This record gives sequence, structure tokens and C-alpha cells, in this order.
Amino acid sequence: MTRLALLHSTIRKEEKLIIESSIKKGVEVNLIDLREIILDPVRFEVNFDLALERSVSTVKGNYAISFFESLGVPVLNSLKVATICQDKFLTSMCLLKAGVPTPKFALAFDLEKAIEAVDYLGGFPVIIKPPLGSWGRLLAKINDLDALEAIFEHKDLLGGPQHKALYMQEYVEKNGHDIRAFVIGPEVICAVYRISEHWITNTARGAKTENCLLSDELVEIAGQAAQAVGGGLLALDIFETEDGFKVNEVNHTMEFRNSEGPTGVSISSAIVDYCLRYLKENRFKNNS
Amino acid sequence: MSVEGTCPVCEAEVNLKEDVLVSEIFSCPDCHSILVVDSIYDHQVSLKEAPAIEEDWGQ
Repeated sequence: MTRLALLHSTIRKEEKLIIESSIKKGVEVNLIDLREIILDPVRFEVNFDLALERSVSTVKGNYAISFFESLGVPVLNSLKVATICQDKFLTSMCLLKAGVPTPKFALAFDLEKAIEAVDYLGGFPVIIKPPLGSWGRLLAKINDLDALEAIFEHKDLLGGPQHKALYMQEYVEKNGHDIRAFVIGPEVICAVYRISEHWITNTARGAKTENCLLSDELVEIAGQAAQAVGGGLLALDIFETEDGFKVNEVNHTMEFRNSEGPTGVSISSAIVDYCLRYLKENRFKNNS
Repeated sequence: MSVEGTCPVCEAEVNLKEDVLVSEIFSCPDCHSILVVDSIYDHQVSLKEAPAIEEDWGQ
């Protein structure tokens, strides 16, 4: 029987669905609450075949991935993928390098340079996001210079170290929706529209979801974007613009509770299937 | 059979499904506080208020 370690902190609906799918497939699930263990490479006894990182805390998740990878345990997603996806700037760089259409972006540490960057981005409005952030938290739509100066001063005086890095993005008119595409390994399995009257379309901020049919163009760009960050278990946020699709962000510990219903696809089942396939392929590599 | 506990905020009786897990979060049906399961023993759960969202939380 395959033994899957589910690395978690708070257990959400998604973790419950993954556990349920694992049990149905005869996979033994070992729940590891990262708040309850000591990452001690000398004393930690590994009693599972593969770890699936599902921590709601990015910092804890990242240390756990590093730890278990260093012990030789296969982990999904890998440290390489998690490191890129948790950071919006690194993600944008990877997408750009791979030729995947993505909104214009820039990063600045200084107000004068941020003002210069606005010109490069096409003028106001621009979006400012914490490089490490999620659920639409602390996103700011900057409509003019006054707002940019105010946000910069607040971040400079009140923010922690990561808020000194001003990640900026061109504002893309989403017409009330964006697309979330789910990519499991090499396959784009389904997608939803995230619909909101607000310019922020995160479901954590109240956006509703509807099934989005997978066009050839969407599958191609989602597949390219997933591979650009290293591939694995990924959820991509994509803008539908007059110039075609643009990949905005890539999430590596995807939430999908609002997407299984509209799409009719069991994302949790696909995740477990991929874990099993990944383990098989990894064993083969190790034995060859 | 359900699992029972008491909301630490409003003291409402809360019934949860039998497959409830330690560290699972849910809303109290009465006061809507976000709660987390602290421990489970003999169909009784101990509940506490969920931690506030931290800066690095997300997906």
C-alpha cells in the first residue's frame, strides 16, 4: 500500500477531499501537522513514500519541503516549483523567459524608480502586490501619483522586509472575470471562470465560479505556463484580454473547493492519481 | 453518529460529522466564529477559536 504524507497546518475542505480520494484509491494517508513536529534530520523517522505539501502557511510549507527533499523523500510540489510560485516576481520572470504571455511587470525598491516603472507599464492605473501573498490580500490598484506615494510611504514605514520590494503590474481590464485553470502534471484538467464585480476576482474575496470550457488556446497556454515554473500540481490565474490570454499567477498549493462542482471534475482525485504516478516514475528513475 | 462539541465563543452545541479531523476549521452555526478542532475523544470534540489569518497564508 502506498503511504502518502499530507503535510498540513489548518485542515481545509481541500485537504478533506484529498484524504477522501486517497482512501478510495487504497492509499494510506499519514497526516503530518507541521506545527506539531520538529524538523530534525537526525531523529525524524520517515514512514511514508511521498509527501504532499498542503500547508496553508507558505513559510512552514517551504521549510517542510526543503526538509523532506533533503531526506530523499519525493515531495509535491517540489522546492523548486514552490519557491517560484510563492513569489510573484519569480513567477513573472519564469513566464517571461519561457515566452508565456503575461502582464507587464516591474519591481522597484525606491519611490522614484517606482514612478519610472509606471511609465514602462503604460501609465496609471497599475497594480501593486506583495511579492509573497495570497487570497487577494494587500492588492492595491493605484490610479494616480498621489496613491502611489501614499502606498509607498505606508509600506516603507509600516511594512516588513518583503514590503520594501514593490512588485508592480500593468492593470488589465478583466471585464468582471478571470480564469483559473488546473494543471496536473502535463494535463490541463479543467478550468473555471472567477466572476466578480470587483477588480479583485479571488474566490477568497467572494468571486463566484462557473465552468470554463477548455479551448485549444487555453490548454496550450496553461500547459506552457505550468511547465515554465517546473510543472506539478498547479492552479493558474489567467486574464482573457483583447490580445489573447495572459497568465497572471501560478499557485502551488491550490484551493479548489469551489471548482469541483462547476466543472464536474474531481481535482482531488486527479491530485492523488498524479502523486501515485509521480512516485512510480520517481522510483523507476531511482532504480535505473 | 455525529460528534459533539461546544463553541468556545457563544457556547452553542455544535454537531460535526464523524469524519471530522483535528485541525479542521469550520464556522459555528450560531455565532459564525471560525473554529478549529483541537482534540477528539469518544465522539466529543474540544473546539477553540481558529488562529487569525497570517501574512504568509494562502495557496
